[in-house]
Amino acid sequence: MAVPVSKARTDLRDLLSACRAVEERRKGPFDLDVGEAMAKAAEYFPAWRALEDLRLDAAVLNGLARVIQIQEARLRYEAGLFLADPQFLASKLPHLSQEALADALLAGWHPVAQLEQVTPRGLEIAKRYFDALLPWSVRRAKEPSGRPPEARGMTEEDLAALGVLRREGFLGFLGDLWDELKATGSSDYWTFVHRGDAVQRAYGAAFLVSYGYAELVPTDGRTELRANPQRIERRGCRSAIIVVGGEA
Amino acid sequence: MTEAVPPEKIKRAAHLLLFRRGRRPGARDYELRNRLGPNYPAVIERLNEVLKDLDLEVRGISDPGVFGEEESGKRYVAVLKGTMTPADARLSGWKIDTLAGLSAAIALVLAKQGKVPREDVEDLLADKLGRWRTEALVDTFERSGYLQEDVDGFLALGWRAYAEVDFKELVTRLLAAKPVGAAGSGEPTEERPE
Repeated sequence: MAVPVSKARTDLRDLLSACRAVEERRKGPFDLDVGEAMAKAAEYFPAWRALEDLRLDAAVLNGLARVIQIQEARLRYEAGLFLADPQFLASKLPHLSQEALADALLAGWHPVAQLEQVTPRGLEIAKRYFDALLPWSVRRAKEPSGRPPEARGMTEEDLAALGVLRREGFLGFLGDLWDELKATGSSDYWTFVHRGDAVQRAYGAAFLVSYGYAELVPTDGRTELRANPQRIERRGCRSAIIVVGGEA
Repeated sequence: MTEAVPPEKIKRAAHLLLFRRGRRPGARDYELRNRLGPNYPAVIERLNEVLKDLDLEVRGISDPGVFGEEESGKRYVAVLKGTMTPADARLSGWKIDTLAGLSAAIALVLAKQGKVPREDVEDLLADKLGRWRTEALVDTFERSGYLQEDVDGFLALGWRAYAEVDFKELVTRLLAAKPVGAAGSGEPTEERPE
């Protein structure tokens, strides 16, 4: 083979993309000379050793086969399109006026005749719907959406108002809780929380964990609360939900 | 000799074909067979004689792929036998630029062997009708069944184009029409100039 292998590969890739262009209607099927392409593929074939090259060769042959299929379909189509040249028709369309286009359609347009009908069953359904329909004055009134109120944060004042904690003693309460936890080292979360007012102690424990005074560690299906000897600076953000009381 | 058909059957056939019952007009062959009996082609023939005076005719469409794979066989629809004048079309709510767009879109699909990228159709129409109107029009043609789009974004002719449009007449007229060059690509007009 006189042509270098790299050049032959490029030629085959070009042929493959030309085949694809024909398949995707970007190129006319007769823009590609299939005979010449086949001769080229046959000339290069003895030089192929690598599997990749053989695959490329097979893909080109496959592509050319599809081009021939499209050429055949095109010939059949042209024969059926009243001897008109489709390319000529496509190129002429942009140069026709709106009137000419509309007149051409109207000359061969036979629209479907159809009537909308009212059936006894349709009437029955409509009557049932109408009877059940509430008056507009009732429907226009805004109904409760049924959704719970939007979630919002609670301030210390809110909690104090609910009796969950006393504002002046909050830091002291947290300190006591931390000392208690440090004394035990680690404790089962639920055991720790239920040693007193569960809601209040759970709230305090959440603060301790959030601010790095304690860790919440899941172990063997349990949740353990471990005191940190010193406060740890938290980096990043994780959240865990623990339901205290009520129904989960 | 024409087969004798009871008037009751002709009436029933007219109801089946003229009144819209489902998403698509007309009736399928097996529906007609069930409701009119095995000699339903004779009933259709008689109905055609009755409809002739109203400039209507019943046409069977059986092109493969037109109605989708789930619908094999033929679908019969009643269509206008003659054609509409531009004035009639306008009275029926068709604007001249909509008709022109439909004509160009169908012709382009025909010229490209029944399949053309949607962008090509839009480019052709946008030149005459403006980009914003073109997109809405192509959607309308699709919704009304004149065109159908596949998953790869190629447009093909829809069931309604096959049912309503005489492609031979359309192509012949377009090939015979005189191009106007730049004169036809001015500002889009909504109505035909009087």
